[in-house]
Amino acid sequence: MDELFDLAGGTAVSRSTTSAELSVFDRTFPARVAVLMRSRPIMEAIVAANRQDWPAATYDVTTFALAAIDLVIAQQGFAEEATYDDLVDGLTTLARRTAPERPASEHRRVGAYTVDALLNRGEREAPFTYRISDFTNEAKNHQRRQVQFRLLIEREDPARGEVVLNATRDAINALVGGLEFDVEDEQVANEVLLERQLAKGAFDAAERAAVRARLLSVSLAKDLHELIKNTRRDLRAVIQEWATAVPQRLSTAREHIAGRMEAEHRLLAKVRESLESDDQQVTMAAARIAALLTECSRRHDALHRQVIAARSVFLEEQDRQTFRPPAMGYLPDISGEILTPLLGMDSETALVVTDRWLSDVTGPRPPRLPRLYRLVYDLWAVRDSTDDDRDLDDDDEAGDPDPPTIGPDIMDAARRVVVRTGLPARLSALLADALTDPGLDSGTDRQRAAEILALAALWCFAPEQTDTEHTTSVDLTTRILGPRAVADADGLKLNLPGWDGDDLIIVPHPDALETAHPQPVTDHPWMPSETR
Amino acid sequence: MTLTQNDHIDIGTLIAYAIQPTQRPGRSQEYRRVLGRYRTESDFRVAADAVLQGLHARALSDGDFGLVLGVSPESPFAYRVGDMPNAGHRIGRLMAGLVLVGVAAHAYPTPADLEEERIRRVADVEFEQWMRTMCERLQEHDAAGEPVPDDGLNEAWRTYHEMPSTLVGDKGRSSGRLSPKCTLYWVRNVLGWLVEHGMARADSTGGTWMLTERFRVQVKDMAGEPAYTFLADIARRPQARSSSPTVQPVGADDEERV
Repeated sequence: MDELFDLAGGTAVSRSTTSAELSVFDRTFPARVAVLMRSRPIMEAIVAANRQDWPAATYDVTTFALAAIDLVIAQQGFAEEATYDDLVDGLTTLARRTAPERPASEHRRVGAYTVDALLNRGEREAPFTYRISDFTNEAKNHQRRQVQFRLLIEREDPARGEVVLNATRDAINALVGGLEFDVEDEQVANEVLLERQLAKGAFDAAERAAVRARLLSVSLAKDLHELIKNTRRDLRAVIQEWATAVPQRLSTAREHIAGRMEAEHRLLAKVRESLESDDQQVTMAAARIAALLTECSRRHDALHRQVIAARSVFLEEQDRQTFRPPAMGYLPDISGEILTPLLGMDSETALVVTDRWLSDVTGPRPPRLPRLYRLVYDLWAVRDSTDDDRDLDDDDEAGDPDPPTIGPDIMDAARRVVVRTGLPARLSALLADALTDPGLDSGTDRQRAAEILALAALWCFAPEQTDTEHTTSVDLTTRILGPRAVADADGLKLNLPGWDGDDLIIVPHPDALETAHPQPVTDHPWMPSETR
Repeated sequence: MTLTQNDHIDIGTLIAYAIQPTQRPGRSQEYRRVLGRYRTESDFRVAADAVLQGLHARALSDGDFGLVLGVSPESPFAYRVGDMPNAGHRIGRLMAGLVLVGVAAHAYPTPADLEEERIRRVADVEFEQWMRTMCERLQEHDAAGEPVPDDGLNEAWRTYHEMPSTLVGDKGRSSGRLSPKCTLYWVRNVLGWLVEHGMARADSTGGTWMLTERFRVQVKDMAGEPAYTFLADIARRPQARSSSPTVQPVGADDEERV
């Protein structure tokens, strides 16, 4: 500092013959003076402190002032920025450590005094204004210039509805970064800010705040989603909620979104600037935080859309559900009159109802009459090991065995056969391939895969003539042969042992039928005795 | 008009189609023809209804989805619980039953919904959660300070609530599959079973089922009333089971219905 004063003072005159060499005429000179001025409010505060009612030379106001600015900087741009009280609290602690023997009320007064000085509360928070000399014009005449700045500013936080404190770029550059920076530079101020925050671990707090905010967003979104779903299903179930709690919830969500979006936008802008920094630690932290913030921001967009749509869903459903035709005769309210009471019953009584319900809902079921050959076949058949969940099935009623369900591996195998053989194909080619499929271990499985293929082909050929009881359906056929597959017969008989009927031609889509001439397979490389 | 032998054959054909729940008149000309006779020829209809009565069955609907029959428990066509796959065990039976009632309650939240011809979609995971919420409401009731009677511990909702949502088998043949010890298994099992009986279709997107018109008709005309009557009966009994005081129908519903 002495050097600066030397330069500004009269030494240059004695050293140099021409006034042009005096640095005071340099264009950047007034800026350097201005930088020095940034600390003047603090110097004045030190002087004024002597006139306060606490003993002189007890508290170091300079340290307190810089500590206060650091405190503000640590939280700046994050969800919970420092308030006036936070700052005073922090400084009160410092004052107590400085002079533990002094009364607590004095500690607090010292804290408030320092913050007030930084805010220039004595002048109703007007900017600090100082006059300096400027010799940098063409004629090297003396001119008066005014330096005006603030150190701390008060700002209303829209999310919290509280007044928070921010440090200005002047405060950051001059008082935190050191006097070598250009005080006007916003970018420099941001980097200093970020560096300080990183050094103090304040970004952990920022990340934690962002994660917390994200959790809240997720839970708000979940609640809202639930509400909308239930509204669509049955408005009555949630109408009370709409009348009481929902408007509040929607406005909470809106406030949350607005606050977070604002905060994220601000922080993200700051973090993005810091991605250019030379300090690798800064860029890495900035990148991490930028990713987190981007994700949060995406979530908030989605939540926002949901909030906007919520009310119209309600109105829509109100219309739809109100103008529903009235029920004819008496129809029970299944949810309120059946399910809820049922759930509250003891299981034995509930079973009486559910058993009856099951049989009533099912409707008719054609009784299956045993036929001897079928029975023998069933007794011989090895139980499909892929038939899952037999654990609970130990006390199956005697009688017909359940129809064999198709295991997913059989379905996969059938699909595999179709893919391997390729359509168009003869049914015999598909069957032969299925019966020799190395992907299936047992002959029973191969036989089943072949049966499924035959049923699927039959379904394609003539849907209504198939046994639709449990296996064939459009879905099954689609899964195995593809959505548009068709089959046709040309009179050629299936020539495979154990199979009879037409050797169908299966094509992937109807247009392919005219040109398809797949070859039938008549040899049988598998062992018939193994499979039948 | 006297019915001829051919008419009786047609009645038999119609019933044969009707007792196969996955048959649709849209797919079969023969079914369309005999169903058309049932709809338009009153003699034919009277005779068919009489035969059905002898079989302890009645026609619930004769629309484009075919002749939907309701059967009383005495009917040889009646479905028995033992026929339900994997539901031989008491817990399995109860779970299947609760989920089945739940599916209907979820799909038709109001009585008027039972009248409305509209496809209802049921997403398995979403429905599972909804059932869980229903059960949790009953639990919250207990937590509110009401004494829990000893035999109340046997309440049906606990069976559902105590099962985890998903549990994947880790050994043997059940490895990698949902175990019957979790609720999602039962939800999928029951929905899959509804598909077999022509009362649901699996959505191609997976995880979602579309309940068919047949399910709506069955629930509306057959299942709702006996269950309701039975439950109302229990609720009216002065010495109702200790667990049934919690069983009040939701009061708001009564007002809404006026």
